[in-house]
Amino acid sequence: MIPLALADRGATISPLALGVPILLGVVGYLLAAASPQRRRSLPGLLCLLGAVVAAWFAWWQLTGNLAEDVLFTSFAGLMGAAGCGMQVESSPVYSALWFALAILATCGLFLVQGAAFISAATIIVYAGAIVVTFLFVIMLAQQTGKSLYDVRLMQPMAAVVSGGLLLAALVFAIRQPAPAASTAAPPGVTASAPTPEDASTIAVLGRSLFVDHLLAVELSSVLLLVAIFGTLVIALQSREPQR
Amino acid sequence: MNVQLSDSLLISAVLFVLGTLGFLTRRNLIVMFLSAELMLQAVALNLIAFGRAHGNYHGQSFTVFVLTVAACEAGMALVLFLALYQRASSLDVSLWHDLGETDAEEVDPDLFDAEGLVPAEVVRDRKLTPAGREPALTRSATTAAPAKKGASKRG
Repeated sequence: MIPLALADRGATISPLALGVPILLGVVGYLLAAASPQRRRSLPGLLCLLGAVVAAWFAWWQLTGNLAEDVLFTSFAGLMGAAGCGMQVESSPVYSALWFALAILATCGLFLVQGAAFISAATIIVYAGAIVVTFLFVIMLAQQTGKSLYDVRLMQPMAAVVSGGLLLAALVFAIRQPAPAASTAAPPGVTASAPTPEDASTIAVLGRSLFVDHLLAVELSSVLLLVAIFGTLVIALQSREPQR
Repeated sequence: MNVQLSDSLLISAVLFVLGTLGFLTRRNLIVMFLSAELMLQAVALNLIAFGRAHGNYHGQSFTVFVLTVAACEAGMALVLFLALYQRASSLDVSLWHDLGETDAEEVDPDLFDAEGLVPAEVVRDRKLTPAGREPALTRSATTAAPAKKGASKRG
């Protein structure tokens, strides 16, 4: 059973361990992505790499053991690197490729956390979505090469400052020692935490979906239906002026 | 298998901030949409971690709903991009900054009638593309003409 406290490892984070990776990431992003010509600059990529390494070092200091779950840490590192690559890359095609890699890494994280069905469903749904998005990118964006709006970012300085502040606040709040009252298990908790070895995951998940969340399942099916009709209506309306 | 709750929360915080960064800075509609999907994925990661920490399957059930909404959103977003691209031949989001018609002057509050409606002459010189069905208040000879044409065709 996993303890419910957030700062379950008992270590508090030092401002240095929190600040260095975020600052390195901010500087690296500004150097690598936000230059006016959007050329890939070596110092920016080095700064981003340094940010990832510093984050891992801070994590190691907090947790004491970096390789305690090899799969989790490698999927997490892959996901962070793919997300950085997606935001640094200026071409939409390569951005979509990095996005696919990030989604695959999160599916691996789902799998590590015992959500096998969700992992498979995410891959199936996003495989379709990614393929369609690729079609769109190739149809719409790649006709005249790299366009100006792909190269120029919108307010990168303000965005990166607010993003860094958001990340610092989130990390600080997550690593905060939890109040003593929340360490006790809440009354409704069952002791069957899903594990990767649990073969009955899908059965239990199905029971949870169709017993506990039956109304929400019905509502989401209605939502899908409405989305299909809305998509058709918009597609037909946008074709009308050309007739 | 010793992954703690806070590790997953940290990872998904990083993913969420990366998605936010892309959504704020990118100007390509498709890349903005992908960044929003990245944020949704971070939330799904949080839900699964919380469900695992609580030892039940509610988190995974919520993730199924997140996936459903993401699929609906993808369909709507892509068809909207297609419609916008047919109008502007570009995926630049800053072309649509003036959708709110920023240069139009405010309607004088004295012009509103008892039902809160504005006379048709006031609304007429707006430049926005008309969408949907025109309300009965502003219906005039221009909109009545196609109906007449249809009637004559039928006859």
